[in-house]
Amino acid sequence: MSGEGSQGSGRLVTGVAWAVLLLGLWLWGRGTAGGPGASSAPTTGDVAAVGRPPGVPLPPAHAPVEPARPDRVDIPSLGVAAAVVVPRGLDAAGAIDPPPYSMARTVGWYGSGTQPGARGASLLVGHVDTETRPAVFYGLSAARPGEKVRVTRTDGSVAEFTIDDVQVFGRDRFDARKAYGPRRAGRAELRLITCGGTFDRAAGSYTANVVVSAYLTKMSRATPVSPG
Amino acid sequence: MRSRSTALRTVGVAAALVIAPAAAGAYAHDSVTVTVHPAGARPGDEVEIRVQGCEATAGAARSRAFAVAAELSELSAGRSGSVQESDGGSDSGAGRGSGRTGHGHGSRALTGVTVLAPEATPGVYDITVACGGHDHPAPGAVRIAESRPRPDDRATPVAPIRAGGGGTAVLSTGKQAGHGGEAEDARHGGEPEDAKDGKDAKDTGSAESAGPSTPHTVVGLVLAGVAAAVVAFRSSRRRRTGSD
Repeated sequence: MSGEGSQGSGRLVTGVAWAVLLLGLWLWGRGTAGGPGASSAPTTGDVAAVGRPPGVPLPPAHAPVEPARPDRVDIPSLGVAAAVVVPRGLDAAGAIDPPPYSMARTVGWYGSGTQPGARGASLLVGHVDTETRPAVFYGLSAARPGEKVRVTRTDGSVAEFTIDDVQVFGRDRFDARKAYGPRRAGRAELRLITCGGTFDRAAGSYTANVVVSAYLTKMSRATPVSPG
Repeated sequence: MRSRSTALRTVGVAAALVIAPAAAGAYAHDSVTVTVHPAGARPGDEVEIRVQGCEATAGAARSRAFAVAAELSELSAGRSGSVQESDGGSDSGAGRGSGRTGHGHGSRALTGVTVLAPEATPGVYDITVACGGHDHPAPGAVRIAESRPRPDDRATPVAPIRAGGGGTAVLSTGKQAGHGGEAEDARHGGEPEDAKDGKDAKDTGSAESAGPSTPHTVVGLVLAGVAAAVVAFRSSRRRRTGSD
């Protein structure tokens, strides 16, 4: 580049160079940030819940209703449809015992605890995967506040809960009161719990629990189904 | 006339030849039997289903007494092992999962696990076994005993649950093993804390989320160098030509 005549083309080259540079910086910035979902991922452990993303209004709570045992659970946003719910007890360590791997599509609920729709926290547990394939709560960590969970009860009613919190609890500093206990007094609450974190092959278990919290927002009647 | 009667006779013989083996096959399949262990379980209890006489390697056992149909397979693989065996009389202890072939014509034993329907009233319920492509009605029954009254002690859960076998866990290379990329990212959002606890089996996942990876850093440095070079070049040109 020399002489006055090349000033115009020199400016063009400079402009193109800047444009390419800015484009490259933008792409690099996007690549580093790691793609979608990073900003709304659940927080870990004992940090207070991030809560809802801006712009998701949460409906008012419905008053608790008469207790009834759960029969089926539907989580449309996660593709869980009419999963059978069976009562489970505690294992030797004091943790709710999920159904066996051969019943990977079945959800367990803590049968000695609060029934869904009653005041307190009703606890539902399901496998995230078996040793070989995904299980009923495989997509649970993708749940987001505002989404609905419908529990069909044995008295024919459908209790609809709205998710208001999704958190990951590490096994080491596990706050059982926060995970299993009610978050706000006076509400009928629901917990959906599965495993998360990383899979520790030496121990044969995941390193954390994913705990989705929801509260009762609507009651309705189930449409009659032919007896199975 | 004679030809018609011959034709009728031929059709009759052909029909008999077709129907007879089918009927014999149906009767042969009626050797399927099913048993439920433990006997006398209560509503909501976990039970093991054992089927003998099926000539298939998989099937299902259904009943109004079951909360969900039991999936039958040759090996009782992947169970959490919580079904307690209390009947010592049968051959329950030996050979589970090792392909019992105690019956001469090569039929297998299939097993499965299910839970008795929590709302079922006590009584005896028929079981239907589906295997080998068709149903075998009522090869056995299950008896549901009176449900035990609930204990008053409200033990509360205190420990984290064990609810995963690791079949979909992210591989050690850090690449996604299954679908649902967003779910995987969200689930592993807690990795830096878990890694510090020292129980993490892999390090690459947490390293990635701690900052830009090596390729990203190299590209960033190159772009920064290009920016600096362009600025220097322009400033030198400006000095030389005396105008922008």
